Amino acid sequence: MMKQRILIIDDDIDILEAIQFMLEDAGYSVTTSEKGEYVEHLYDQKGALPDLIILDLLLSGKDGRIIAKELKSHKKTQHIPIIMISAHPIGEAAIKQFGVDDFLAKPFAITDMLTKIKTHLS
Amino acid sequence: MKKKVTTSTVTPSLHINDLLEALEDGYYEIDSHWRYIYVNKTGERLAGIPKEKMLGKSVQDLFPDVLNLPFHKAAEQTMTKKKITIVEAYYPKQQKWYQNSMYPTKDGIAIFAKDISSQKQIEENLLFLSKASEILSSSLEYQTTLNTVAKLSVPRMAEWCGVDLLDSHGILQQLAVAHKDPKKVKWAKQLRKENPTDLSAPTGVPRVLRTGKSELYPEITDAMLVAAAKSPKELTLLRKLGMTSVMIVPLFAKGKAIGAISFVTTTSQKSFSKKDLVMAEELASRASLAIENARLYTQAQKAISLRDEFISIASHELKTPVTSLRIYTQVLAQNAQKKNDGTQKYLKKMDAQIDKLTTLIQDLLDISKIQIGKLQFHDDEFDMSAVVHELVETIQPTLSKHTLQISGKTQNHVHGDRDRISQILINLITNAIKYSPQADKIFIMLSQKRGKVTVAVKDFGIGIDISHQKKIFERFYQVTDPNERTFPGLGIGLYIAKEIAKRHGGDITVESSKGKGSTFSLILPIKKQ
Repeated sequence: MMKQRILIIDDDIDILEAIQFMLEDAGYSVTTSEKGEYVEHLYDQKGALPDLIILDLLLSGKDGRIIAKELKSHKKTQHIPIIMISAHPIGEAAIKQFGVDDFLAKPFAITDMLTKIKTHLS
Repeated sequence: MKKKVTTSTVTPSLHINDLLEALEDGYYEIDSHWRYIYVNKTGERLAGIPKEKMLGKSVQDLFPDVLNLPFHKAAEQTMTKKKITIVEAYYPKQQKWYQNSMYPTKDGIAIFAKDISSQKQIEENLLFLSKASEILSSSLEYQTTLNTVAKLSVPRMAEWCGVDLLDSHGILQQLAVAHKDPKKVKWAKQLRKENPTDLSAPTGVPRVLRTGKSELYPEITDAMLVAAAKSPKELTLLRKLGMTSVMIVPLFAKGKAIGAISFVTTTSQKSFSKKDLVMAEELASRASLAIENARLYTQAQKAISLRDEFISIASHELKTPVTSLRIYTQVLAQNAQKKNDGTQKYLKKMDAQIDKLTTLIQDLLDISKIQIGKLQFHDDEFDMSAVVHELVETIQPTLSKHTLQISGKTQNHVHGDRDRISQILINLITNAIKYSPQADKIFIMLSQKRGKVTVAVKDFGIGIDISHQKKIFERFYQVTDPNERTFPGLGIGLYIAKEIAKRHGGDITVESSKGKGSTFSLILPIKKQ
């Protein structure tokens, strides 16, 4: 079976690497985008879109909230589930405001993250 | 035998009149028609009228103003009711205070007049200084208080009073200027705007700032004005001001002269003396203290806001490494579980420590948000009973000794931030566990009454001494008892919990007795606040 691909967008390289480690360990294929220039990482070599996106709320490059709006307003990408992560515990408000599918406050338990991913991918 | 006592009449060598003439007090005798029939030498001097012009004339004729003075009423009392009266009165013409003691005579009154001006001056100075101190300590806005003090000095101490302070750029700023005529104040302010003070000037405020010593000019002569003026225009202005006497006293901060208070008289009647200078210096030292206090306060406020900002940034920055640390540890713990190589136990312990670190960071972040008033709340509507049951389900499996027992229930839903209310309850439950190491039960009691929902968490632990019960809600407060084992923590959990409760229109209360246990109650209103 083909591995499901997850795109992580976060400006913090340490977090990016840690989440990548966790998700690869859980059996996912992972692409990372550090600066918020996510478009170039959106498609894989075969031209396929990611199955799920993990997006940081505030990126030092492009604002995570804008990225969420872009992805959710574009026909091609609006079906992709987005889990927003942030050190700000804004919780449910993020889902309503930015149209993302889920939210996790940093630092999160990996079981919470994996459960959420599983739910959105099933 | 009876001895006869003989008395002889001796004429004194000193006649009573000689005594009266030698008195330092003024002495007057007045007949029933209010006419002077006797005036001693001092009395003559005090009245400022030669004896010959006083004798036979009535008090009212000589001093028509006297009728309005309390002196006259008192004299009438003595005259008609034959009572001794003592009255203090101020005589504007002489600019002096007298104490008049009046005694009834056979057909009139006798008055002893004592000059009590210097005594009065001391009393008034003390009163003035205490008033000034009161004003200076009433507020930390020293600009305002110094202005009030300047106004208070006018016209009692001088016709003009000005306060100058060096600003942070070393420029002398006129902080206050007072005169009983507001028009003149306006004029003085305008004048100053057009002619900023030259700090290298040889006299006046600049000199006081350089030397840190007071300047007293009992008399201002025209020659002095000519010497001080830098231009003919300035000389005209200085002459127009009509100064007759000036004193300038320095204001200090950290031992350095940072400003000055100037007193100026413009009438020839009063010229400043050393005594006035002492008084002015006393006032200046009190004003200096007020300025110093205000500066220290501002500095402290700045330091506090810097500290809060630092805590906010630091706790935020700590989150990133903790997040990645937590991920790695948890992944490793999972893998260890699969391999069953014995490392899992330690990785779980690491994870538990990271959890504690996370809570501490979160608490620090919360406290800095409370400080700057940026703690935000969501508006949820929820069932308190459900929240309590959920929390107990989560916490119970992590406990090795204690059993959490829920009793009671609530009917209505409460409004507020569900996560924040949970945070309070977690705090109360973990505290109950932490401070009852010997016990094995924690009771959680739900109730609802008079529009309020209460969750009481009761433990059977070490309890809190009555003297500490109020303080435990203070920031960074920890009970330190040499006989007790110390419990780790920052001492901010209850502070945060109470702040959150208060922001929801509720409260947290405590009932406790030492050695028996404590009950902490979270009380929240049902209606939206």
